[in-house]
Amino acid sequence: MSTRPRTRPSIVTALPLADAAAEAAIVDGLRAGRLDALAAAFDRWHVRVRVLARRLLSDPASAEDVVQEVFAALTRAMRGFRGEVDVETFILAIAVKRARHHQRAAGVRRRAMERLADQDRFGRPDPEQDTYRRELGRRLEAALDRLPVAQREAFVLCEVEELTSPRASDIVGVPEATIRTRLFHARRRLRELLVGEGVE
Amino acid sequence: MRQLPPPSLNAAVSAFRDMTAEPAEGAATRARVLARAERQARLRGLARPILAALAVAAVILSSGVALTAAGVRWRAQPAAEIADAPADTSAPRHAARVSRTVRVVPPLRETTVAPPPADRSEGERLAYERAHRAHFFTDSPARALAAWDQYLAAYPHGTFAPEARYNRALCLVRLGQLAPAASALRPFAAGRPGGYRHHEACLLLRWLSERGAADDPEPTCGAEN
Repeated sequence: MSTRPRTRPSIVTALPLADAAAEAAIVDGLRAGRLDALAAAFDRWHVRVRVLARRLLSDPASAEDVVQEVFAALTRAMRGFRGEVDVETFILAIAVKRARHHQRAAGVRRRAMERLADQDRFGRPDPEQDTYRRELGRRLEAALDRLPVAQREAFVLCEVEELTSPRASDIVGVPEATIRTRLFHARRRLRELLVGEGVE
Repeated sequence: MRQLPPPSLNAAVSAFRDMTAEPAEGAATRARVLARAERQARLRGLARPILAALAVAAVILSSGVALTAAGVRWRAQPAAEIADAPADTSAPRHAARVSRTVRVVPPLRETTVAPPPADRSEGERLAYERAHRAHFFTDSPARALAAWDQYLAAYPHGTFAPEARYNRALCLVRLGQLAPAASALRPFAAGRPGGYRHHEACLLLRWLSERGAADDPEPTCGAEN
């Protein structure tokens, strides 16, 4: 039986509020190409990026690759930062774009298909609550793998990450109405997929 | 057996959220990212002086080429093309309106006369060089005219007297002294076709005659045009 706590607050609410001065210093340092600024940026946002990538990709290894790519590209990308959105949104937008490449990669697709093929091993819910929740999460993950990338992004950002639709639209780079439409279709499709798995 | 809550999409989302919020220290990734950034910074640091050195070398090389070309031009005494060259901004403004293909005043950048060889008398060489500089490297036709006059006064039969006289005529044209310019050009136009500055003098005289500054061009001019 797992020793992890059964419920954990969302990573969004768990993170402290951004300190504007510290963020500005990091941005300045990144623009100047300073390593200490890159290290500070990594320490501040790597968990956020990793969790988002993990939720978008269903693959911890690919998520780790995304983290590395995002921060490797951050110094150069920050030269184009105009301050129209906050730094975290800017970084998450890079993460979403990088995740798309991985999503399309054959390896991720193959792993997703393998996961779907193994669904029958989920079987009936275990009496143990923790195990049951874990299986429920894995079923949703499997269903997410069958969604189009755009719908998955909208669902993960709005439902799992609990971001507002304006912020999600900033991250994905599409109008807010588009995010809401994608979210609507994602929910409907997920319900259909989960009904087949015994979840209503 | 405990009673399980009724499964729903919200419950699945909650479970998925907990499942994927596993903490990860990311130390290895952090080290890789920083090492890569450090490598790139080091490469940039190396590339910058190399690029600067290449830029300096390119400037030196191009300067050397330009100086060599200038020296060759100085010695080669090339003929000035006046028919197909672009319009000369230093010429009288109405000249361009009359004819677009004939530029009456050769551009200053073209070297029309070579400097005197080293074995000429020092005074003549200095006088010629002074006039040449004033003519080709300043924007003052009056100063150039004075310098040519000075040269011709001192060395009326000097080695480069013909060139000095022709350049003096050009200065007169630029100054708008068209009648004296026509007089100065007439000896060149009266020479044999193909002779020194014959063709250019004919063109200039024709242009001047169109403005009433000169009589009809010399009879020998018709042979060329």
